[in-house]
This record gives sequence, structure tokens and C-alpha cells, in this order.
Amino acid sequence: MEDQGNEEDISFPSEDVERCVQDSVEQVLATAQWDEKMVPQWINDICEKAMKQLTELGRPYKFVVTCMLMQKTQQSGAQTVLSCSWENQTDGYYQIIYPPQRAKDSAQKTIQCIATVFCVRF
Amino acid sequence: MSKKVTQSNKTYQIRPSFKDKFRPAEAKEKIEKILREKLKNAQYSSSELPQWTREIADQTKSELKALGKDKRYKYLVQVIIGHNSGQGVRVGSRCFWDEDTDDCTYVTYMNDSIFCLVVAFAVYLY
Repeated sequence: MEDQGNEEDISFPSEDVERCVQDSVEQVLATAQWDEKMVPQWINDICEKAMKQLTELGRPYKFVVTCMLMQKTQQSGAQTVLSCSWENQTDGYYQIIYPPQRAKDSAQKTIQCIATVFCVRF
Repeated sequence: MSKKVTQSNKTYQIRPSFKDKFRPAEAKEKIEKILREKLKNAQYSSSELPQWTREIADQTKSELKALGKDKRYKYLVQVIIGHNSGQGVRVGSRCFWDEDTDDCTYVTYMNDSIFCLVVAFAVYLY
């Protein structure tokens, strides 16, 4: 009996996860302006779209997606830190900051988004 | 002559036992205590902020491990600290896991100049 699928599944699927999260954030926030009433809806959309794509990957992973949306003002600043106790080889996270720091002419000038996905193998 | 026969029952633990299950309320109390100690009367300062967040995250993770729950739990802690300058902020999360064994808890703290959010997830390894 041959186990063909097992060897490929061991490492953390970073590129797939990256793609799922980036797509969902860009789709929802590309043309959005900060609007207090729409924010809960956007967070739901981002998290649910990302989750749907992640689960479709069919990997033996549990996923946790967190999304923070913050209004960009002159003084707003935030720091986020993750501390995890897991298995380094099989588990990992991916964090996207949108718009990316270096993109000065990005259309998104009013919303700052930080989306994090934790992938834990079970 | 007697033949020695040993029978072994293979038991794989696929659920934490009831008393070793992660309890969000316990964890929430511990995290609240950490935040009260660290951030009492703290003022926003962009140079000290990274250090505070890191310390809070590491301390929270150690406290969660010290709770003594089932050893097969993996803990994920996310700490967000920001300047309370009247801007709008919202954080949401979605989890794809086993409702029975996994859980999460969150604690928020606010004062005049900073807001702090700590989210802790506990995920069981089968």
C-alpha cells in the first residue's frame, strides 16, 4: 500500500493561504471609503470569503481568520503582536496589511486593514 | 508451562477530558489581570508600544499554558494596541474548528490615550 498524498501535506500551505486572504481583502476594500455603518459588513465579508476559500483547499487544517479595520486619521497608529504555542513545521500564520506600507498612491486612503490567518494542523 | 498473554488496549485520546477542557472564563480572568497590571495609566508612546505589546502577548501565552489544561492544546494569542484618538476601529474573526474542543476569549481595555485588545484562541490537536 502506498501513501502518496501524505508527504505533500506536511508543510504549511503558505502560498495558497496568501492568495485566499489577499483576494478577499482586495475584493471587499478596493473601492471602499470609511463608513461606520458598513464596517461590520465588510469585516463579515472579508472573513467569510477568506474562510470559504481556505476550507476549499481541502487541507487537514483548522483556520482562524481575524480582521481589523481602522480609520486612517492623522494620529491613528496601532501595533499588533502574535504569540503562538504550536508546532513550527506544520503550523503557521499569514498577515496582510492593506494597503501595503509602500504604496503611496494607493486608492485606499481612509481605511487601514490588518487581516491575520492562523493555520493549525490537526 | 504457562504462556504469558498480554493484551494491550490501544486508546487514542481524541477529546480533552472534561476537567482539562479549555475554559474561556478562566482565561479571561487571567488576561484581565495582566492588562490591568501592564497598562494601568499607560499613555500612548510609539517607542514603548512595541515592547508593551510583545510583553503582554508573551505573558498571556505563558499564563494560558500555566492554566494546566490538556497538554494537547495549542494556544494562539493576538494583541492589538492602538492610539485612542477618536478614530473608528473594529475587529472581527471567524474560526473553522471543532466546536466541542476549541474555544476563544477576548479582553478589551481602554483609557484616554490607548485601546488594547487581546484575543486568545485554544485549538486542540487530535
